[in-house]
Amino acid sequence: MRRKRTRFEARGQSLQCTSRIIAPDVEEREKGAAYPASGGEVRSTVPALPSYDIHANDRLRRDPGLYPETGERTKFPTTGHHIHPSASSHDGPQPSSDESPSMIELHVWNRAFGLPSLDPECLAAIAFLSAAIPQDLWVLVESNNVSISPNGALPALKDGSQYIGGFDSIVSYLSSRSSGRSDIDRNLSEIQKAQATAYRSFIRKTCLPITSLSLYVTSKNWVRITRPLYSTFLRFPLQYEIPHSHHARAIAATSHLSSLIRDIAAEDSNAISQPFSTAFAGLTASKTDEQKDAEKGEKITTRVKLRNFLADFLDPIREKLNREKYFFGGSSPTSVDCLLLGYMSLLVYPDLPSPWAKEIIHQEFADLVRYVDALKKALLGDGIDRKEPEEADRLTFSSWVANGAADIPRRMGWVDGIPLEEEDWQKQSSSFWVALQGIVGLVAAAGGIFAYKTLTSSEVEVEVQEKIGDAEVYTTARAEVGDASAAGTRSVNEFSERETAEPLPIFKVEDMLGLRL
Amino acid sequence: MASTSAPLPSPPQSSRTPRASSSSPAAARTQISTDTTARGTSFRPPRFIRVLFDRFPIYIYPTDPVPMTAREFQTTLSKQPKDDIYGTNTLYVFSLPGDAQNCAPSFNPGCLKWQTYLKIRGVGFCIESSSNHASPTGSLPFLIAEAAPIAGSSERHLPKTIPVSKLAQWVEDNAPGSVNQTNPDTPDYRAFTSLIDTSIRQAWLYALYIDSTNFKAQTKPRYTYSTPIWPVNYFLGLQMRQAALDNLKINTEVSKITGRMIYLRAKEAWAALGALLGGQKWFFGAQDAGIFDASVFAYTHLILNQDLEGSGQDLRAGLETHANLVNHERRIRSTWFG
Repeated sequence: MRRKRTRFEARGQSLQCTSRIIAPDVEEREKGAAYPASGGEVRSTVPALPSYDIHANDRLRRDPGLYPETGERTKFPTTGHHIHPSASSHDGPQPSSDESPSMIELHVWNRAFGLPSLDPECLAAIAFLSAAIPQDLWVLVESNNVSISPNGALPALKDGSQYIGGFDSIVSYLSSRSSGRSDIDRNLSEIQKAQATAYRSFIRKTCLPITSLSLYVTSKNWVRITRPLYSTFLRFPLQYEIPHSHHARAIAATSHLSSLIRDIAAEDSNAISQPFSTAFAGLTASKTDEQKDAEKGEKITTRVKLRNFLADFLDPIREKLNREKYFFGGSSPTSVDCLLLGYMSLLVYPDLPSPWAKEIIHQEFADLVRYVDALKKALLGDGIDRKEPEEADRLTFSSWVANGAADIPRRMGWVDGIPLEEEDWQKQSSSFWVALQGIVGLVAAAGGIFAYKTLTSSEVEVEVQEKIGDAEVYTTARAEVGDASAAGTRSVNEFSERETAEPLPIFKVEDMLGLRL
Repeated sequence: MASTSAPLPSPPQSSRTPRASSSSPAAARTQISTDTTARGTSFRPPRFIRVLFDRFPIYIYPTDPVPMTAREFQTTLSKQPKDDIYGTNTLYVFSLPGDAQNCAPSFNPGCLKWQTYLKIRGVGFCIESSSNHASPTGSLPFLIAEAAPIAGSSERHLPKTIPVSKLAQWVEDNAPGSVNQTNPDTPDYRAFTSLIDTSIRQAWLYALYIDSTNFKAQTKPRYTYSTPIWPVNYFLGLQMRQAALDNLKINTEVSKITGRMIYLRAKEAWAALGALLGGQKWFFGAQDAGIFDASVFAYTHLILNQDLEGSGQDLRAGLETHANLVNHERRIRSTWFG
C-alpha cells in the first residue's frame, strides 16, 4: 500500500508543475491518493491520466522506484486487460483544455424495467452520483463487464486510471476526493452517521433476499421476464452464463426461504391452471366449492406470509422515515436514501407475471411508494448521460473468458476462497495456473518419452501379403528390428512350400517416421 | 400378550399363556382342529413343526405396567440417579469441560451472548459443554430448564427444553424483572442488530475460520476437542471452514471479497457502535444491561481476550481504538464474570 502512495504523490507533483487550470482538481487527486491508505478497494493501474507533462511521465517511467507496478502489470495480463496499452499515448497528444481532464465513468449493469440498471447496488450508485456531483462531470457506461472492477462486481467507478468497485467504496472515494463537496452525508450528526452504517447493512441484509426472490427465484418471473432480459443485451455465449450465475447467487441468497418459495410456486401454478380448467370445463370435473375455498384460503395464507416477509424490511424503514421526504429528514438525500432507492425501485417498478412484491407494497406501503417515486424523479431521472464503453472496458468474449479462467481455481474450490489482500486474488490464480502448466508440461514430457519408447521399441509386427495360387494369404510376423534372419526363419517355416525363402521386408521405425531421410 | 392373558376367565395355573398350555398334545390337537375347521381346509402342519411350536413361548416376561399417566412417568424419572441435573437450569454451549465447571465464558459468540444475557437477568444456571449433535434444533445454545417441583410432593415435573429461538421469551417469563426497557422492535435496534450479525460476524468468521493461523491454533482444537482422533477432527475442521466460507460468500454482494474488505466493514461497524454507545453506560441509554449489550459483549470479549494471531490482530486493533467499547466489555466482564 505504501508503494502506491509514493507513486500517487509523484504523479500529483508532475501534474502540479504544469497545469494551473485544473489546480483544484490536483488537490482533489491528492486527497484521493490518500484514500487507499484506509480503504482497500482502490485499484490503481498504470496512470492513464492525460499527461500534461509528457516528460514528467517519462521521468516516472525511468525511475523504477516511482513506478513499481509496470512489472506487476506484465505479470498478470489476465486481469490487466482493461488497461489499454495505447491509453496513455492516446491521451498524451490531447491539448490541455479547461475541460475536466477525464469524465468519471460509472460502469453498471444494463438498464431494465424502465430503470437505468437491473442491479440494486448499481441503481444506488447511479442515484448517489446524481446526488453528489454535477451531471456534466460523469457518464453512465453500461459495460456489463465485472472484470474491470477490483472487487469483481458492478457498480465500478472509473476515474482516469483508477477503478473503484462497490457502492460503499464509491461513496467514500468520492467523498474524500472532492474535499467533502460531494459528501452527501456531510450534514449528518455523529450518531446519524453511525445509523447510516447500520441501516446500510440492514437494507442489504433484509432487502437483498426480497429482490432476489421477486426477480430471480420466483420461477414465473425468472422464466418470462428476467432471463429473457439478459438476452437482450448480452451476446451469444454470455447470455447463457451470466444470467445463470446471477440466478445461482439469488438462490443462495434466498436459501433460508424455501417454504416461502414453495408457497409462491403453489400460488402461481394455481393461477396458471385456471384458464385450462375453464377451457376443458366440460371434460374435467369442475372444482367443488370446498376445493375452491381451500385454495382461496391457501392463497390468503401465502399472501399473509409474504406480507410479513416484506414487513420485516419495510416496517422499520417506514417507522424511521416517518413521512419525511428523506431518510434522515433534512433537505437533501443521503447515501441511505440512495441505497434504499436502489433496492426498493426493483420492487416497486418492474411489471412481473407474479407481482406479489409490487402488489403488497402498493396496497400496504403506499407512503413508501410515494417516497421512492419522489426520489426516482430526482435521482434516476432522464438527464443521465450515457456513453459506450471504451474498447478496453468492453465486455467481449475474450475478456470474459480471461476473467472466467482466472476465476476457475476459486470457483472449483481448488484454492482458498477468500484471500486477505486484493493482490492475492491474482497471485492465487496465477500461481495456480503456473502449477497447472507445470503439471501439464510434466505429463506431456512423460507422454513424449513413453511414445518414443513404444515407437522405437525393437519389436515390430509386419504383415505380409502373399499370393499362393489364386488365394491371397495374410500373415503376421513379429521380430526384433534388424533381426531379419529370426523373422525369416519363422516365416520360412510357415511358408515352407515356397521355393525361394526371401527374408521378410522389415522396416525400421526410423524409416516410417521419415527420420532417415 | 401377557397383559391380555391376565383377565382371561380361566387361566392355566402355571404362568404360561393359553398357547403355552397347549403343550399337552391333546390341547394342541383341539386347537389345530378348530383352526382347520375355521378355514375349511384339511391342512395339517407336519408333526415336527407342531412339536417345535409347542415349545413356545419359552419364557414369559413379567407384566408391563398399564399405560401410564404423565405424572407417574415423572415419578419414575425423578427417582433416577441423574436427578440433580434437572434440579437446575442447564445451558448447553460450546465450551471446554474445564471452563464449563467454572461457568467461564464460552468461546462461541452465539453461546456467549445467551450465557451473558442469562447472567445479566439473574437466572441461576450452570453450563454444560456440548456439541450441535446434542441440540434438538441442531444448533447451540439450548437450555434445559429446571424441573418445576410438583405441589405437595417431593417430585418434579418433566424438565422443558428451550431452543435458542424461544430463549428470550423464556427469560421474560422466568427471570426477575429487568430495568432495561429497550424495545427490540424499534428500527434503530434492528438496524444495529443486523450490523452485528453481518459486518462484525463476518469479520469474526474470517479471523477465526479463514485465517489459517487462528484456525489451526484456536478454532479447530476447541471445536473438535471431543474427537481428537486424527482423520475425524481433520475432516470436521474442513467442514467448519467450508461452512464459514460459504457463509461469507453468500452474505456479500461482491464476488471477489478479500479479508481487507471484511475488516474494513468491521472497522466501520465498530465506529458505528462506538458512536451509538457514546458516553452512556449501556446501549440505547438503558438503565441496565440488556440483550443488545450481551450480543456486543459476545464479540468484544472474545476479540479482546483471545490471543488472535495473524490478520485477527487487525480486527482487535479496530476495536481497541474505541475506548468506550473496551470499557463496556470490561464493565460486563467484571460485573458478571468476575
